Amino acid sequence: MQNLQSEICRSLEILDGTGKFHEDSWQRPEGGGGRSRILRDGTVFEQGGVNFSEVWGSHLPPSILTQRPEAAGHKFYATGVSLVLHPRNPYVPTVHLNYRYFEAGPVWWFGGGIDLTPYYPFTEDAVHFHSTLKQACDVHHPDYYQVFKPWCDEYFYLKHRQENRGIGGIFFDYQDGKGQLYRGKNSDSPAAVVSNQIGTPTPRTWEEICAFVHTCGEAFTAAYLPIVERRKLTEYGEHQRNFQLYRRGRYVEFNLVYDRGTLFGLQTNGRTESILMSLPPLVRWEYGYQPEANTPEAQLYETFLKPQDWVSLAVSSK
Amino acid sequence: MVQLLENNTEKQQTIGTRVEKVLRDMFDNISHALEDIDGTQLQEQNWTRDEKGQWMQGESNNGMIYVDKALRKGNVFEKVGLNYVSMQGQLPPGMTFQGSDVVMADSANKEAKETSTSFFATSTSVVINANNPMVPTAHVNYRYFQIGDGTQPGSWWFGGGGDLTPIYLFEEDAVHFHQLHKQACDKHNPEYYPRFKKWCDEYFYLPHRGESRGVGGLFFDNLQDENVETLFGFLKTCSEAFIPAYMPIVDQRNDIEFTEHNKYWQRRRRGRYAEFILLHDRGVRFGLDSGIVNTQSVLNCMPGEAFWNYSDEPVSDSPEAKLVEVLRNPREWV
Repeated sequence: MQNLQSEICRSLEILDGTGKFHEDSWQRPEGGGGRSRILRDGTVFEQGGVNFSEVWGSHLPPSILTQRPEAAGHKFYATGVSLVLHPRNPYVPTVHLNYRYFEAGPVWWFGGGIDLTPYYPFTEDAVHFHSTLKQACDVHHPDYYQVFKPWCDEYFYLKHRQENRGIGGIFFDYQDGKGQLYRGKNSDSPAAVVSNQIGTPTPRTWEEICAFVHTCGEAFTAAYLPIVERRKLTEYGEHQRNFQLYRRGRYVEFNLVYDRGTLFGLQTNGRTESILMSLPPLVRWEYGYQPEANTPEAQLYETFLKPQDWVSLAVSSK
Repeated sequence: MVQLLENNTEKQQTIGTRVEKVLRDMFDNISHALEDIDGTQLQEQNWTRDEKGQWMQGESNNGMIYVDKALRKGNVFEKVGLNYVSMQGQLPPGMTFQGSDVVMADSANKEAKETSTSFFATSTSVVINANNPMVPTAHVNYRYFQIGDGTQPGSWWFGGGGDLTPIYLFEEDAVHFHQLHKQACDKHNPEYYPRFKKWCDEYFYLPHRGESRGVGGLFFDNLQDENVETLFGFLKTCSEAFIPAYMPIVDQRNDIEFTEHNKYWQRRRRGRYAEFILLHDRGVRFGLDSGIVNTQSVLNCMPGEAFWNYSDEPVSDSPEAKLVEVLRNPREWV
């Protein structure tokens, strides 16, 4: 996890050109600590953070125990890397990545994922992002992508807006190599349905799941950086900037209303600055904004903020 | 989203109708005061339900009144949101009230599951964000809930309050705001102000920041421990206290010159406000979860612009540090 943080920061500094990450190490009074790296006012990135943390304690918070009651009464250990980048140019999408590992008494599991939040709709970017993630998944298991992709759509959903946060990516949790792949709360969601059809895969070891998470972490640069390269010099005006700032409001809403990682962090007396590092810099809210028909903004809402099978789109366009 | 069915039965010509009138007057009076100060007309939006029960723009019907007003980028105000609602309906089967929260009825309780609960609710809520960082943000909300005809013990209650969120602290503004609210309380009961002032400090608190949202004011919820007439009278006085408690502060601070640095600090404080609304505000969480009103209305209280930055504590002895000090150690202002 620490190496992943370092590798990612190095590649982002090279891409940004001027922005540098500043490191801030911290200790958690109840046990553990972390290393936050923040980049501000870069050429490409307006604000971004890559956080590594490793915490332990005597009991897990309620947000986790409701999902894993067998971990109750045990000490826990949790480590993870999380990253959010808020680019300056509205044509460059925001990206989020998080991979984590938990251990509590007899149980352990891996979780995490990566997802993309564009402000302007580019089909080729969505196809590239998803194809890269599918390849990473396929190296380890032929069924991973087809469950973890719809699980991501399910997780990064703003119920009160009836919108997905972005075009998704992959998301998984409670992966311990046993049982079905989908371990979420809904029994009839698309991810649950596919997972049921697959049934219970052959058990996988700790090393195998760990290797899968490692591949996913390494896929970040290949999935995201080419999109940044392609869009970072696109000219934009005040109109595009306003739309970006408005859409960033949704990011804030998701993280504070729904995101389990954020709520877990705040409940475990985690370090507020590091947890809320994911929030964007400048954000705007408007009352009753509606995109005009037949604009790129409307296309974002109509197509990109709803689940799409991006990988098949790639196959059919070839 | 939960579907709520409004019915056509006559609204009670009793306490509900009278609270409704008081809250509507408050809504109209605050709207006019804001329009006068800003010199801009508020944008008005009425809501109704379509055949499927989805909210759509249009004149309210079935005895339901549901209006939002909003202002963005005004002369004085950056963003203002007002909501007024008065509705009578049925909670869906399986849902009931517990205290002032709507909850799913105990699944073992078959009877509660099969009968839907009729309710009446009326509320006015207002959040005012000004352009000038020297002008504090203000929030005021008063509401009344009733289950059935309100004759059963514990089947009605009042809630609400008003609170002030300075970006830069002017102590005399906090004192003025609290004094006017104390006067309103004291007309009814000398124990109200200390009780509701403390409740306000406890409620508008961000535990993850170790800060109060602002300098407080009044807050109460699930108030039903006295005669309904007594509490109605109290609510009416409170609803009339907001304009004289807040508008003079706007007039007084609006012409102070400010810098880009002041503006930046304002945006960062707006970020805290957004954090409170989305993480902690029970009314907002309830609104988003229940679908009783629509999202656009619920989030009418969001600030216009906010900014998040990885830790940058204010310089010690600066005006910014002075504010944070007060937010970490709530004071008695009166």
